[in-house]
Amino acid sequence: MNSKSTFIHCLLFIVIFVAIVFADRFLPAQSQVIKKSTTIASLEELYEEQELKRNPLEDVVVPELILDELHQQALKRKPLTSHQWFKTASYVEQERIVEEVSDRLYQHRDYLLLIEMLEKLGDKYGMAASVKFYSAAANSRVGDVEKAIVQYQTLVEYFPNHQAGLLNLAILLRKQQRFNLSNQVLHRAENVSAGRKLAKAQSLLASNYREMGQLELAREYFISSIEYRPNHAATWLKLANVEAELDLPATVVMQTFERAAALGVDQANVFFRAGSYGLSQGLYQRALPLLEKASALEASDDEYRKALAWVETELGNLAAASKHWQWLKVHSSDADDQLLAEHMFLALNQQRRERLKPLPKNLEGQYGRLFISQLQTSKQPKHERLLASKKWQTRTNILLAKRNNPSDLSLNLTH
Amino acid sequence: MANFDNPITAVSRKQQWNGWLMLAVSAMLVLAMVGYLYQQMSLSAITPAKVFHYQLHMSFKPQGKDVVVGTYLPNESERQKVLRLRSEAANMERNDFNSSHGLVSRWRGNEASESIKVAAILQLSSVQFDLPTDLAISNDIPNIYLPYLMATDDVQVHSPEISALWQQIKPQNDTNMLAVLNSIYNYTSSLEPLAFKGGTDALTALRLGAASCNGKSRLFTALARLNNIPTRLVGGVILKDGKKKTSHQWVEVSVNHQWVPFDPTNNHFASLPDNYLELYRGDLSLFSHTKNIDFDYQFTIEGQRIAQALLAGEGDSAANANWLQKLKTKLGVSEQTFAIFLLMPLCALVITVLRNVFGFQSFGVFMPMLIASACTLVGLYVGLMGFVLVLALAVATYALLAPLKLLKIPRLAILITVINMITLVGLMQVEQQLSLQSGLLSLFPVIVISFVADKMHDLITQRDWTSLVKSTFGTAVSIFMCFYVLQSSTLQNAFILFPELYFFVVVGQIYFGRWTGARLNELLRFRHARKFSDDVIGINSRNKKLVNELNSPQLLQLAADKLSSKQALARYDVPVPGTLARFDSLIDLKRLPKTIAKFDQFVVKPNAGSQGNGILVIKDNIEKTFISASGKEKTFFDIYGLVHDIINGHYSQLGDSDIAYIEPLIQQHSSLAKVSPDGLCDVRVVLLHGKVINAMLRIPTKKSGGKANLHQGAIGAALDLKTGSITGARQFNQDIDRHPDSGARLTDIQLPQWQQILDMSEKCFAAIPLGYMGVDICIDNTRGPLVLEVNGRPGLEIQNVTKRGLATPINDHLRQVSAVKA
Repeated sequence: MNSKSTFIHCLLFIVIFVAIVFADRFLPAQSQVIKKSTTIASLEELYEEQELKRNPLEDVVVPELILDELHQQALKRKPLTSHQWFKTASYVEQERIVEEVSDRLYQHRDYLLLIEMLEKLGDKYGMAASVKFYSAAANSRVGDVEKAIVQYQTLVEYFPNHQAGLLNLAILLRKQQRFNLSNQVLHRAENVSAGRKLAKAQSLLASNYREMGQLELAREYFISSIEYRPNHAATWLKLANVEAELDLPATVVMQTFERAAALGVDQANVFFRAGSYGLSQGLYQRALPLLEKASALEASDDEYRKALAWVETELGNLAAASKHWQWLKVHSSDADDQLLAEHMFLALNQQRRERLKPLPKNLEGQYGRLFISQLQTSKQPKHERLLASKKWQTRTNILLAKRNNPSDLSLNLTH
Repeated sequence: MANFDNPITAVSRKQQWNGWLMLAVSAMLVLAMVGYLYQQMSLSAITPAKVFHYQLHMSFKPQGKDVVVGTYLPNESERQKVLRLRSEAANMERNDFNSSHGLVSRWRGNEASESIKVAAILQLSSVQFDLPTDLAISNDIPNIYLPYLMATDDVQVHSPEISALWQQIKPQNDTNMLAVLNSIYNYTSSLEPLAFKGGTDALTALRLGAASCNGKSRLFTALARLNNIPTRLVGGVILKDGKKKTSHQWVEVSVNHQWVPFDPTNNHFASLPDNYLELYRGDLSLFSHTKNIDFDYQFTIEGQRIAQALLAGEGDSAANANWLQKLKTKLGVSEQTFAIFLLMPLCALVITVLRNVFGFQSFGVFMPMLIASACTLVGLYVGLMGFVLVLALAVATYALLAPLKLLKIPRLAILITVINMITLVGLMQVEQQLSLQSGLLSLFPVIVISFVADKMHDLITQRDWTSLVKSTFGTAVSIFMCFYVLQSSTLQNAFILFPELYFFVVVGQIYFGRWTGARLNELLRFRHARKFSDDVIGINSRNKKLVNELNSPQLLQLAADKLSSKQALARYDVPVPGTLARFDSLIDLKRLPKTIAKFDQFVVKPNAGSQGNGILVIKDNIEKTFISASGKEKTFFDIYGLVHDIINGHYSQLGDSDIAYIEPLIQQHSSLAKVSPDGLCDVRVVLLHGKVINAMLRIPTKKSGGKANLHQGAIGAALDLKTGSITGARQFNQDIDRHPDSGARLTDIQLPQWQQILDMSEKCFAAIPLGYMGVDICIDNTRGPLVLEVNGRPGLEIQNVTKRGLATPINDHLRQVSAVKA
């Protein structure tokens, strides 16, 4: 038995096989690289534009004039069935008429008339999805929520993919605090929706979960919603609030707040909430532009102004801070805030405060006392309640740290 | 040591030279081919092409209304070749039209429609622009470019915030095209990437400082348009293996009236890689459809390196195609299917090498090749899993059918039916992943597997786990090798460009058909015998030199038919066991009760059985309860069932039906009772042209279940040809000197009536003149030696047992024969 012959044949086979594998793997695949320089080329001719219609099915066309007449008839509470054209129309045309007239009434906010007209017509002409939708929406508008819910439920039973119907139904259920049921509907909406409607369904789901105390789930749905609707400031803001409630790292939450503010260009409230969060977390530099913007948008709002005064004070911008405290002293509608503003103004300007009433006993007043005691290097007042408060804890700790390490004092109190 | 003149050994040495010669010829062939390629068509002809299989699956639920779905299809362009494009949409009508945005396809259907599948094979090129450094931004924009300077709801060109941003990032020379584009690109590509699935307008991207491809591209567009540079968005898909729902957007800027691509998301400046599929131009949605239809979609992308030559019959290169390429185009089959046809002969050669050179066993000779071809359509892992699943199903079905004791052909027909039905159900489940073509082609090997199940079930019922493992492993290796061959772009290219290679494949087949070298696994199997003798022969040598050349098919058939061979032997006065009864057909079973009632001891045998399968030895009959050789109780119905199975061909090596016969029980010779307490031992005598060249005694053990089958654990004892004494013994490849069950010493025992055994063996040659034969002889206590059967393909394990190769005695004898003839 000659083993060499066997080995030679085996080796040869393996060598050929490996060579083929090698060639397959390492022979470069033909990939043409088109190298081009941009010398002036001839102009392109545009093709004739052909738009794709969203739904190019041939619709039944009802003459505009007839529709006007029918609309007027509905406004006068006359039954559509009495109109000559309606009488002679085919059933499909009649359905189309009901749909068109319902649409007009809904657009003109004639909700009661719409409800009345559809009730008079009965179920025969209410089979179209849009008619069912208008009917439910009109009932919702006039405050008959229970009836609206039943009608929406009927609509989505007949048309399970009706995105707007599902969303509106979920909103009404949510308003009634029926979160579980609302979520069931929203999960269905989630399955049949795409784009912005999907974003809306997920945002509503998130809000429901937040109400139900399931914050992690709420955060997940808000994030997912933002993926489909990244420019929706309100969802960013809701996400930031949930993240704050979840005690995520302040820098993470702050970034979300900042993004909400960046998108809510003219919404002072968004800027204020973002800035307030920054202030409460000791992120004064990041809070400042946000609160400045909030105050600029709503110059007369004393809450916004107070937050701005605080952040300027914390940053040691004494001139700016004094200006805001002085404004609050005069314009604030709240007596406690006026007193706080007066104390702060005098303290920052190293003026005597003996004649003033003591600072309010609320947490903000306590923080004011602590701040002023540090400013004047006087005896430290009690601050246990501040340390126990989620809102004031971080600022208090920063303040105490500064007092204990004067060398780190970032406040420049010299005028 | 074998003599150098020994013809068989000499052949082996000759084969060694043949091996080197083959190596040299192959090397020269490869060199010649490479040289020819360089001369004639450059090496690029055999380099693979990279293509992408692009599939878009859209699904929806019309719910009682008509539906319209539109999307953009891959379109031909300078950097995009669409090699094939097809769509499937039941109950829908497709309508395509070209617009300035791209190739729009619109399907219109009724409430019964539910999905659309688009499949394309694409070959893309990368593109790289060299932008002039001194080009100034022109204020004189031709009218046709004005739409690309306009503000839109999402591209807020005139927003003060966009202007303010530009003031921050603009370069010193803000009239230089390249500088401006650089600034815009640097800013937009540095935005934090966020994987938004919804659209992001330019302002949102700016305000968030983060965006997806859509937001970055829109902000790029807004800034470019602000600077009077015509810019447009482009939508498409990045072709990367896998399934996904994400499309991609980038921009094109008009520079010197040429559209230059930029992708700030993936950092491509004035360039695009070769996996960017452009579908539409403009700030558009990829899909438009009727409202509220629960629309969903998914892209499935698979890159593939495929032979350039397989694509050559398509499009503009069709004119230069050779006849094979033209045939492929004419048949209209896919590249993969054509590659299967093309490389099937080579696969067959690979199987030959794997079996005859490496010694791999497999289920079915060419079955792995068929499985591999199915794997090329569905993927190796899916294919292998499918193979295992179908095999398991087949064996399970077989096991379920076993109690029915059906005839072989109807049994196989039922197996095929069951597997076919299950496969069809399976195809329905995976219908989304498989094209119809793949599904149908997969059916073929599925049916073939049914036949394999038969063999596999036999191995399982015989508890022959070693063979099962070896065959499973060999099948897996063969499938993998064939799969690789079928997928190899190098081989695809080579065979389509040089159909002459088929000639070499045929030459290879002839070469291996004549090759009688040892198989690789035999070097291991006969390692023991090779320590003592270098003239051991392998299966190739036995089959080619001995069985094929010395044994005629008629005599082989006669040897396999035990009853006929017994008659032939009896005619030459060779003592054989008597036949008490035979059962040729199921009607004969009526006689069975009376027949077996007459005897207390008997043996039931299949006429065309092998390896001792189907044999039942009855040692006693106590009140109609039969006691087998292993001491188990057997009822009449057990025996009836066995005879029924034998007639139905369960144990037949010849066909689908057989004859059962009953022989009297042979009583072991008293001198062997101690050596073989567990069953009847037999002597295997190997003869060449009637001359005894080797012999061994096969001794059953408990492990072998009382059978004298060496593979199942029987002992092989070497016999001295002159004296008939045992010179050594082996069990499971280990030398032993005592019986594992009785502890009796095995060596130094001399077989009784040895000369009579030798004479009988030589007489067998006169009765059945097989040039190479094995004779199995047992020694009855009263009748003496009896020939149990003759074998036309005696195995080679005897070489391990006797430590003597067969080459030398064979060659000595052949030399003597030639001398006599001379």
